[in-house]
Parts: sequence; structure tokens; C-alpha cells
Amino acid sequence: MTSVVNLQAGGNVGITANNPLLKELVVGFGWDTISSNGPLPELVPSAILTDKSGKALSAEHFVFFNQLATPDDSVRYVTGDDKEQIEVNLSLVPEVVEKIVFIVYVDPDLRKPGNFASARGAYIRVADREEHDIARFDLANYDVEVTAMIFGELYRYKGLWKFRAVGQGYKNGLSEVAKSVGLSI
Amino acid sequence: MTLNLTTPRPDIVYLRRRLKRGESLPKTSTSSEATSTSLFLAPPESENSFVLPEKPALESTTVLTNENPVVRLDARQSAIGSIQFDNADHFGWESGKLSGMVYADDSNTNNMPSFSNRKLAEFYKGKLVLGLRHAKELRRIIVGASSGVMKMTMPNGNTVVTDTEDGYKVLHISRIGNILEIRMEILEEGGIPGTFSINTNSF
Repeated sequence: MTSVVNLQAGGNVGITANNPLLKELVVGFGWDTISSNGPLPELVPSAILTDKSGKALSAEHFVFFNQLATPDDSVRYVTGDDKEQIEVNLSLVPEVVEKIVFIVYVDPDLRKPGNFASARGAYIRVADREEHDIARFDLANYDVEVTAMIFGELYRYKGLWKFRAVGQGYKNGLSEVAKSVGLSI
Repeated sequence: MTLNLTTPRPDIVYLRRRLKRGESLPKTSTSSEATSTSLFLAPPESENSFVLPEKPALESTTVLTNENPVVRLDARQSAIGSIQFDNADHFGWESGKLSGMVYADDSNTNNMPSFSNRKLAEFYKGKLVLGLRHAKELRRIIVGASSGVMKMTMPNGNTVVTDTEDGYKVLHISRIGNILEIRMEILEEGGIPGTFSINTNSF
């Protein structure tokens, strides 16, 4: 069992370097929302599989609560601990995929959608199937006006998989993130 | 004979559910399983997927007519943001549990299910708004306008409008698995705008 690596934004850690046989990962997301009598922001974790050019493979390679798995079943929304969880089976990820980007967006409802200002204690963690944490990124500081944020990404590096903590926010929400990877949502 | 209601059927969109962590997809049926005494719901080997009949997809502006009354949203369009209805003045909704209600624009919508302090659907700033984040709770919602053209606007600005020929019409939005289908329907002769009802088992 390896000890968990706590990352700062921009930091990375090898996922398969010490364990080349590791194929199945659990990516957990968590946060708290400050209670209020008014509408609360609804945070939604998601994942997009991108190729070497940074573009999404297809709209079907965007995984969230209403599109539970990629066509190849390599990335799948599951029910488990944390607020939400996404499973990744590295052995099923198509060769053309260079990155799996994990985004948490605020649902853009017309009625006071809110932003990350009401969120506290947001984190992303990567664990193996036995719940042994490999990496964790606690998002301590972020611009409260953002409405979507890349929490982290799994990426290929010299034939191995690594995880990078990102923490990059977008003020124009999921549509802005999607546009950056060539998707129209 | 045992009816297996717990095994997920990811091959059939409307029976798909989220797996528990670590749970595997069910395997396809085999000839030996097919002869067992329990009712096995896996697809026959010759047919590995169920495909909904083709329907038109949403365009930048979609006009629903008697000849083309249906448009279907994709999984992203069906679950992100909210839909706004211009000129709608009443709606009826029914949940997956077959409870429901009909509201006019001046009704008290306190009985409407709420999530994160937002109602699933409500009149907001003079327009009907349907939140999509929890639209999976719906079985259907029927939206009507007492007069004029009804326009439905998606978060990205795409619109669906009804034509105004042949009398009074409503938009019937039904949930099929993880997608929403919008169908324009004409009220039967004698139907009075604003007075439709939804018949459910609970009424």
C-alpha cells in the first residue's frame, strides 16, 4: 500500500509508475455548500476524454449523471462514497485518449444558478478499487465567481498514467470549458 | 418463476441505472441461462442493443408542425441548465411515481417538488421555467398557451416553436430513459385552453 500524495495546484503524481498492474481507479469528488433560504448552486462532477490535440473524442465521451459511461465503458459514473464518484478502467481507455479531464460545474439554471462562492471543502481524490487513496487535491483557494472548474486530470506520460491537480476556474461555466475542448453543450 | 428486477440493463437506455462502485455490467445471456426457470432479462445473443426509433434532433430553430410534430433532445440537452417557455400560461406535470398536478400561471406551486430551493418547474419572471438538473424525476410535463405561438428556448439559445394552424396546441415533454422528447399535440375538439387535466393512477 502506498501513502497518499497531497497535491497543490499544478502538482502531479504517477499513478501507474509504482504499480503497472493498476487498472481500475476511483475518482471521488466532495464539497459542502453553505446553506441558505435561497436557491443553492448545484455542483455536478463530470469527465471528458480528450485526444492529443486536447479535443474531446465525441460528445459521448462527456460523462456526467445523465450520460453514465463512455461508449467503451472506460469511464463510468457510479454510486459510492464521496459526493460523487467516477470509475476509470485504464485498460479500456482507447489509445487515442491522452487525457481524462475532471470538471465540476455549477448547473446553469436560469434561476440564480450561483457559483463556487457557496462551496467549501472541495476536493478530488484518486484511489484504487480497495479505497487506498493514491492522490488528493484540496481546493483551498479559488476565485469565487467561477461556475466551472477543472479539478484535475489523468494523463499519459511515457506510456504510464499520471494525475495532475489543476484547479483552473471558468467564469462562463460548463459551456466555456466544453468549448475549449471542442464540444458544444 | 423469479423476476429479476435488480440487474441493470445498460443496453436498454430506459432501463439503464447507475452502477454501485465495483459492480460489473451483466453478461449477455447464454443458451443455458435461457432455459433456466427464472425470467432472464438479458438481451438475446442476436440483439445486443435496443435502439429508440429515429426522431429529429434539435436545430437552432425547430418548428413543430402537424407533419413534423416531434423533436428529441440528447442526453446533454436533457439534463443541463433549464428550459424557458415563452407565452405558456399553464402546465401539468406527472412524476415517475405517477403523482402530478396542473398549474396556471397564477397558481400557487407550493406542491411542486423542489431541489436546492428551486422548483422543478415554475413560472419565473413571467415565463415558465423547467429545471433540467432533476428532470429525471419527471415522467412528463405538458405545457400550454391560451393563445399565440409557444416558444421553448434551450440554454444555448436553440428554440422550438409551435405553428399556429389548426387550433389549440400543447407541448408534451416526456422522459424516455435519459432523454427528453418534445411532441406537439392538438387538443381534441372541444378542448378548452387552460383547462386540461392529467389522469394518473393517484387521482
